Amino acid sequence: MSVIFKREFRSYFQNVTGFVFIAVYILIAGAFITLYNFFSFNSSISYAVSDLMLWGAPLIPILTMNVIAKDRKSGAYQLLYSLPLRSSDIILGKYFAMLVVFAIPTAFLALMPLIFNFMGEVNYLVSYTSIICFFLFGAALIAVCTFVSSLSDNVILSAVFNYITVAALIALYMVKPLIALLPAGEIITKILSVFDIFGKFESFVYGIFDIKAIIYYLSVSALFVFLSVRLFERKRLM
Amino acid sequence: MIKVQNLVKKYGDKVAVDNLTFTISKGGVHGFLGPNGAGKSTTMNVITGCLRATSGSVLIDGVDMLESPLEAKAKIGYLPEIPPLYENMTTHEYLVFVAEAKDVPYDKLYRNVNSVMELTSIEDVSGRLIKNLSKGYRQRIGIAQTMLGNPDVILLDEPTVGLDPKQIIEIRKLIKKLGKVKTVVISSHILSEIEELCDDVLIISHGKMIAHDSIENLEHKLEKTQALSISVRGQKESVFRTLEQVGGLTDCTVTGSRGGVVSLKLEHDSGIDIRDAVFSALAEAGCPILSMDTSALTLEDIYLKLTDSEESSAPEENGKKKKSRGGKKK
Repeated sequence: MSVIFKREFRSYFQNVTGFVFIAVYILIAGAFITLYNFFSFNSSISYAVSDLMLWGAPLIPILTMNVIAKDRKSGAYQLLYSLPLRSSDIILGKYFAMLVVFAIPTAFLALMPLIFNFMGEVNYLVSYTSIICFFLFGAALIAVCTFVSSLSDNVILSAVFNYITVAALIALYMVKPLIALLPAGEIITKILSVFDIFGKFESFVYGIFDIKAIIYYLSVSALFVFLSVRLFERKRLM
Repeated sequence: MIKVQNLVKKYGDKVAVDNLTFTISKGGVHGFLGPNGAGKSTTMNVITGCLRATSGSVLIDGVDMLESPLEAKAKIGYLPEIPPLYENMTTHEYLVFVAEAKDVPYDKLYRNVNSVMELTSIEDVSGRLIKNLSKGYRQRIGIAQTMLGNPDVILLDEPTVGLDPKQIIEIRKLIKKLGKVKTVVISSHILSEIEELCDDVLIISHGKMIAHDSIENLEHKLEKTQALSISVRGQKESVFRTLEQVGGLTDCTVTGSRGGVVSLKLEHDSGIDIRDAVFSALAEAGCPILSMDTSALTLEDIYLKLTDSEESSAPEENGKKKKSRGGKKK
């Protein structure tokens, strides 16, 4: 797995992909931190993180959209299939490489509570649990998008599927309060909340540590990585 | 070294490989021939574990590809039709990546990478990005990666495609050299290449094996008659009369006559050498032989004979009978 991880991680910095992803993520994070913390004299990073989740989500496909299709296009998948590597090693190597790239803007966020400390009192526990939850949210969304990428061998289709998925998840989060107003809306909302990847963070905004959200993100990550491995293995049959 | 048993690969309803069974012995260079769509690449992909068979088994040095894929794959180096390269890597980075993936011990890794680069003459592009290299270099990098980890079996699908004549000669030399220490299987459309490199050939058509033998044995099996081309100085009639007395001659055709020199094609039963008798008879008749040439079957003749007979016996598809190649020979 480490050999695939090293290759994939390096590949994000052999062109502009990795740099653009990190720079834009930090730019958006910086904008929200300036707005919610520096301008509002607020030491809690949770508000900024909450908005960063939503506005940063469309950046995730930059990492994931080509993760499988590029190997199909170049023919490198034949090398991967013929090497003495397990399908799980290949997918996990790729997945962890994306996670480490995502960890770079997360590390930038992690510096913020230390800076806020110079301006006032900071609740480190609340701040860092929010940041950890943000990272787990990213891990879950990366897993979902990796699976969606595996559905197509075409680079363009794969990108389209990724953006449709992210747009659908954002739309679900946006319309959920409206659905709740409908007759029987409560039941529909409960069903839809299974897919509401953004809504799980709401407790953290109010400084409440929600273990259910952590379990949800970990479960989604594990499920979609597992499905991606199965799909990768299944394509060996085709 | 490679044992394929009852291999079947279906794509939906289409049978790409139909109950293929063969064994490839250890060492030497083995050719894999067949028309387009015969199932060569599919078979190679199944042997290397890139594709999973619908049924049947593949054993590499006794290790089952389905049951112990990692162990079996460690014994194989594979170059697919399109070299599987990462374009954003340099040649050296790419080979180090493949060597690491093949679990080459760290203390031997760089030595192994350097030696395959030297063998395939790619040291001069070691630090260059693969995307900036010519097709010839890419092909050679593809061949180089097959040798990493010192596998027992090397499978090359069209290894000389895109190479210039000088590179082709070098790669063929390399394949011959490899064949002395490893089991090399090459798939190629260049029949002269197979004839030059291979100890034996495996011919498949419509996913079925139609022949697997040495080229000499295939020649013997297919040749019912042999031919002798001669040119003789003398009158056509007297040459004809003289040759009628030669035993074993089944047919005599004049192919040309100019300036008192007659060119003839003499067909005779295979297994009989009539050259001595022809020489003596014409010498006695005072008709000197100016040239004499035996014409044996080439691999191209064998290939066309076998695949044509297979195609003509293949079932009609969609109500249309398949076109015959016409059985033209060189």
